[in-house]
Amino acid sequence: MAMAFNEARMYSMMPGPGVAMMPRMMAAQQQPQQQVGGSVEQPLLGSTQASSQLDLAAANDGLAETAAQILASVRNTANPKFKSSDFVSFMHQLADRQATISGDQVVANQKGKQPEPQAAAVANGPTWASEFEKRAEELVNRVPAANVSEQTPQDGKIFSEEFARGLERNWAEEFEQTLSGPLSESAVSGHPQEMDVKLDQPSSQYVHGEANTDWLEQFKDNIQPMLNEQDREWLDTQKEWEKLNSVETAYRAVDPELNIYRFQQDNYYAQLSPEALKDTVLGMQRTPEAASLGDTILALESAVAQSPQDAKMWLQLGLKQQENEQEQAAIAALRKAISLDADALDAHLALAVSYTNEGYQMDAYDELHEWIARHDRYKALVPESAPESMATNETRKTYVQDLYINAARMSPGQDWDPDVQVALGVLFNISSEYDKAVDCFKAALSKRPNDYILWNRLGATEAHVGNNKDATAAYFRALELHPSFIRARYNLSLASTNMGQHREAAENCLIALSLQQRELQSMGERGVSANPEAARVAPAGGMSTTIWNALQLSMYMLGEPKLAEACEKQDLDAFRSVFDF
Amino acid sequence: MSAKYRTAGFKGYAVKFSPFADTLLAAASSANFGLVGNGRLSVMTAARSGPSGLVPRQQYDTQDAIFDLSWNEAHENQLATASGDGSLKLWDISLNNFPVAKWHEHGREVMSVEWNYVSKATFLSSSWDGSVKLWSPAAPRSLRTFEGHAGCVYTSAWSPQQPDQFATCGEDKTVKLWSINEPHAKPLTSFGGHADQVLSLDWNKYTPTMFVTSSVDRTIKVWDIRNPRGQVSMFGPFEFSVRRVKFSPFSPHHIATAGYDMSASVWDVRTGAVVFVHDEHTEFVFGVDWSLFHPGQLATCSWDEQVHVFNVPGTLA
Repeated sequence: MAMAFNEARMYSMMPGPGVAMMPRMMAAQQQPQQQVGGSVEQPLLGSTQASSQLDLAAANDGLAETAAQILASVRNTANPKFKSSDFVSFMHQLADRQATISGDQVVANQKGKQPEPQAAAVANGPTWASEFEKRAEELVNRVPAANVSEQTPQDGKIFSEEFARGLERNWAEEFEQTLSGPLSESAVSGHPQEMDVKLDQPSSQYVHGEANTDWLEQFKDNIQPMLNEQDREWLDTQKEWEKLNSVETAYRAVDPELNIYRFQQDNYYAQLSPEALKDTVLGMQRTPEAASLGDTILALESAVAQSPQDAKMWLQLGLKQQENEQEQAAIAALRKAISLDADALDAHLALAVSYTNEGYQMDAYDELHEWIARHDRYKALVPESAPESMATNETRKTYVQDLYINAARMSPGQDWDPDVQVALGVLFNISSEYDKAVDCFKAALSKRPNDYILWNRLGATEAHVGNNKDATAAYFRALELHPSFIRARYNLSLASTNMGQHREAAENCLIALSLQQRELQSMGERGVSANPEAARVAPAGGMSTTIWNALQLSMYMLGEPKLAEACEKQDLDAFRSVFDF
Repeated sequence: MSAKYRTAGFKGYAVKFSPFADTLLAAASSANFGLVGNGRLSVMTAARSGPSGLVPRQQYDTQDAIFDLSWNEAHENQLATASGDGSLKLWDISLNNFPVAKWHEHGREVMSVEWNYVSKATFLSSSWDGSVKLWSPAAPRSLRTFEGHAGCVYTSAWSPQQPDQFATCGEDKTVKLWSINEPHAKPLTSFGGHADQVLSLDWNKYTPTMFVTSSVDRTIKVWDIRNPRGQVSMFGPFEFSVRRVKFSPFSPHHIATAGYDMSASVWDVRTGAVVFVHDEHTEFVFGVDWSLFHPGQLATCSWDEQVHVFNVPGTLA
């Protein structure tokens, strides 16, 4: 019987919370192909035989217990269909051991036969619990799942492994730990040997389905304490995350990390006096090509550390972090700027761009709305009914678009406002109307030909439509104007990837990363002086993870698995022998 | 009024409309809820509404359970099935008896099979053995094997836009994105974010960067492939998990779901609102599919041995 059972599939569903799907067992021995009609009637008899009554008892226990677990999980549903469900009846039959699996079919257990094996198991040989302990041991040294089908049918390991799988973690191991813990209240508790004594009295409880399910109920309640520290934390954060992630928060930036700006350590600009720092920053703003991007960012970080209420400085920092392909840092800085000066139009526009990049479209719409609502020239266009129009995702989109089109119409002819065109370009990016966005950016560029940010945006939009060649041309233009423009270089590598030029893509990633890394190194060279006010956290201004990810993909495509691994460790030196940068 | 068919003795696992003929569909079902015993592939025509509205055309019984099926996109009479014994079979519905081809490489039950509807020349299978395989109907062996999931891979689904890309979801709670051209058969990205096994996955046919998943954690999540950090939005947790999700071929905003609450529903993914509920099944609903010809027409199959075809009222635009 046991071998027949082991050939059968243990299959469990998850109709309710927490009961996970269990793998079906394949027949350990394939039976010769028969006429299908016949095989349903004839039980398949394998050549292996049950070795012990114990295996049989345990195997039947497992099937019944899983069935009981399923029943427990659907017990409390208000759904009326479950009362008349054939599946639920079938589970009852299995749980009550009125039916079991034999070979290729389900068979009813004959009356009178059933209690015997169980009673024997309880009174004479090892108990259920010690049997389980044995399985627990096996589990600890268990073979990987891939070998399951190769195991011989006598090996009960197959079974308990599935049972453990069914509860989604190493159930048996934890069961061992908790035998003396939270389960001490329930009937199954303490040292397995002690169980012998306890079972002698209420032995009948463990024979019939009722008590079994009670135990399982209790056990399910006790699962909570079984979870280790990490699991609990995960569950808690999961609950937090679920609270945040309802429909209302779809396409919105709700990650609290985005409110924290993480400063780089060892900022040598902190050594400068406030006046000297101000001069440095001004100088960088006047001639942005003179200083490298990394240096500019460091100087700005020092400046905001010294004067944290300076909205303009935060805005600059945010813009530079965008150029530096560090979106999270950019968002944090721009949010700070806005909190200090809600009318900072550039900050709203820049933040809209960051939100768009990260997929937080609804927040992007909000920022674009803020831009218009606070713009002296256009705020009159915003109607009283604005809050209603901004209420749902659908209406928000059309409403904001219409607002901007009206704004554009306000200044016809040669007098048109490139800012509005830029904002419109961002808008069309959000709604994926990339052709229109391209027109807007091109228009804006005609009035601002040296705006490298705009060139990059144009390139990115072209790339979205698949015009990789045009995108590349735009990125080159941006890089001509601003050679340490990390973001443009990263975008360039993406365009190369899309064109199948994986080597070029990798080279561009490496150039960008080495630019970012060099800043870190040269900082070290210039000397270290900690700024006591700056937060001592891991730098966001280090090498950009997005660029490392892009590099890793290129390595896969070029067939360089070792270098792909080096990307995990962010080891730039590993690449120097293979690439020139 | 639904058109119905009874796969007597066999519990429905999957149902798919033919991409060639608007009234043709097939259902995969298994005896004893798929636990042990045989499988049955039923091919039928949707002739009219009512309890005998689906007229049987062919029926094939198999040694082992059948868990999924997919029509051949390049050959109007053929379809592939995924078996409990780890094999895949190709059937020709103009023949009465045996499959025209069989491939047996998976070590365990095959949970899903899907034909590539962009390139039409290949199909994918995903299995309890943790692997996903790429096949051609003309080749005797699999073209590629993709290993990366820990545990059962419940669903593999082709991208509607990139003929070389597909996504998979599995017991290890992750969703992975793959390219058949990736030289080391490694996933391009892995998405975490479900708290439990992920059962089903489907792509938005209009917004090729969006896909939806359903999980044992009793939620449905909408994702953007450009954002592996987490889902874009989430619906639920519900009382019971959803076993299958399918984006509509006619609307970028609507999905159909089949689940353990014994019903099938249509949702608007923009709002998470349920647009329609099909409540006529009396056991778990395991299969659901949209018609490619009639907007708003759905087929469902369930462990109550019933296959239903019905129309969702109203427009789904």
